[in-house]
Amino acid sequence: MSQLKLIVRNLHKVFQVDEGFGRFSSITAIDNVNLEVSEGELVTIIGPSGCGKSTLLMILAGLYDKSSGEALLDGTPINGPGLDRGVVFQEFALFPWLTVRNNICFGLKMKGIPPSEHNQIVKHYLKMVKLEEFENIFPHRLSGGMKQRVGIARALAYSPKLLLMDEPFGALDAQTRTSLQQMLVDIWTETRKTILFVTHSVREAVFLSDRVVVLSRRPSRVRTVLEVKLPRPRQRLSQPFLRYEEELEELIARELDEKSGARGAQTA
Amino acid sequence: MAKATEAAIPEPTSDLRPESRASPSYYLHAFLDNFIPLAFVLLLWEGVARLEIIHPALFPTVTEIFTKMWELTLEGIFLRDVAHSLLRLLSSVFFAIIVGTICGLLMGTSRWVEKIIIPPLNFFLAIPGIAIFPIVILWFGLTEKAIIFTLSFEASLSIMLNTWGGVKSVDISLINAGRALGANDYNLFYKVLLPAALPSIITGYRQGFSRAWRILVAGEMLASIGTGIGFRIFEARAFLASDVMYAGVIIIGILGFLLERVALRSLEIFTVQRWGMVREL
Repeated sequence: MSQLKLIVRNLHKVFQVDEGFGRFSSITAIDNVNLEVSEGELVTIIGPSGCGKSTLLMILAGLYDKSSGEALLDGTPINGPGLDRGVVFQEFALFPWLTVRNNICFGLKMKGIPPSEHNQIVKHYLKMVKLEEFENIFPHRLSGGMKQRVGIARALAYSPKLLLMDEPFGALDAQTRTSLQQMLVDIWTETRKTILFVTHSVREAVFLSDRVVVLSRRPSRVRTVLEVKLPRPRQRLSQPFLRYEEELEELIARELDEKSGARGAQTA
Repeated sequence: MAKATEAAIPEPTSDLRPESRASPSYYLHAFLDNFIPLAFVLLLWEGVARLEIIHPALFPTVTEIFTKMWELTLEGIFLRDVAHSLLRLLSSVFFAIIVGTICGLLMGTSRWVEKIIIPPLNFFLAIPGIAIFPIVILWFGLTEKAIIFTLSFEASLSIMLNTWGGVKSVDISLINAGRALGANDYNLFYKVLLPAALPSIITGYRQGFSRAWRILVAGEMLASIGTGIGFRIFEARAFLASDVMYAGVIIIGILGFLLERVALRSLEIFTVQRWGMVREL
């Protein structure tokens, strides 16, 4: 088995919720999550809406604090954000006051990569996301799909060890979604990056992943890990593909049905 | 540039628009659109004034007003008045921008500065600046300092409030993106928070400017400072020189319009509008 890139052990997250009038209550978002991702693997996390999958990703990005447990990237504990991880956000989060080029250069500057190398890096990654002509354009002039491609280029440009993607295609229309999924698989094939991808779309998960991690309802635990043993390129309408989709749908539906929450449920 | 990018659109869903660039005929139309209604008002005025229904000393004709304006300009009086008023205004806005921006940014980034400043700020905002002018005169006498202090005070409050609001309402995802991209606190402030808050900050400058402009005229009247458009109008009252008063009011209108539309609007066009952070008009 290939080398483990990311190890998550007994991760636990409690949010303090301000109820107003000076009252606080705590909500357990993540109960006890264990997860391992190997070098070069593309893993998706899926689960019912509000199950804490984005919270998990934000903790791994270092943008939220964890309450207990540990997360190790190449053996180093994750405490706070860092340039060893690239993050792609659902809402794109491009800086509107910077051109496409300067958005990509942001991370390069922070990492201290010499400016003489910026040009070549920017060109390389813009070519990868097929946006070479848009180097000097401000983001507001781009379509949603193009914005997210810049978001991906920006997150890859400073060569992070791990790419974290938080429902990156969730805000896009169906056609753009499909074409970006293909583009991501191509990029992944080319760069062999380790990718952790949060989604709520079963089809997206089956199309992209080596493995699908199914989370339970809040407070989240890992319910099942499903290995997708389909050859690539994957055909969305093929019988085996649809069977995986069905299986995942069932797993998630079962999570939603359980009135009592996650605890005590048995998985197939 | 716009042409080239349009031709290179790779997918049908993109919404690239060509750069909107105004042609000379656009400016001509814009000018005429504004000028024709104004010209109509002036003509009507001239007609009514010539009928002498109202006493000419109270309601002079447009020709008289513009003749007077021209005379005062030739004598150099108007130019000096305009220069002095502008100098007061600009130095006040300059101080207000420095104080207001710094305080606003501190309030937006530090919780306890925010807690300390917000209650008094809300209180002071409720006071029309001109109300404190007599007190300021007690401190500084009938001087430039009194006018500039009052104007700066008034303008800095608006700037502070807008800057604070701008920093507080910066999209959390931009802050997260900045942190994920390795920005430390310093870089997060200068390279993310500040530019992201710029639309509000510029709105604050515009508001501060127009509040200062309104008080300037009243301040010049009250301070009997000897120069300035406000003073000129007030002084003319003593001599019942209504043509001078009307001329002064028209000059104030033209100046305020030019400063707001030309100077401050340009700042907006070259920054936040170019970045698509505010809608184009």
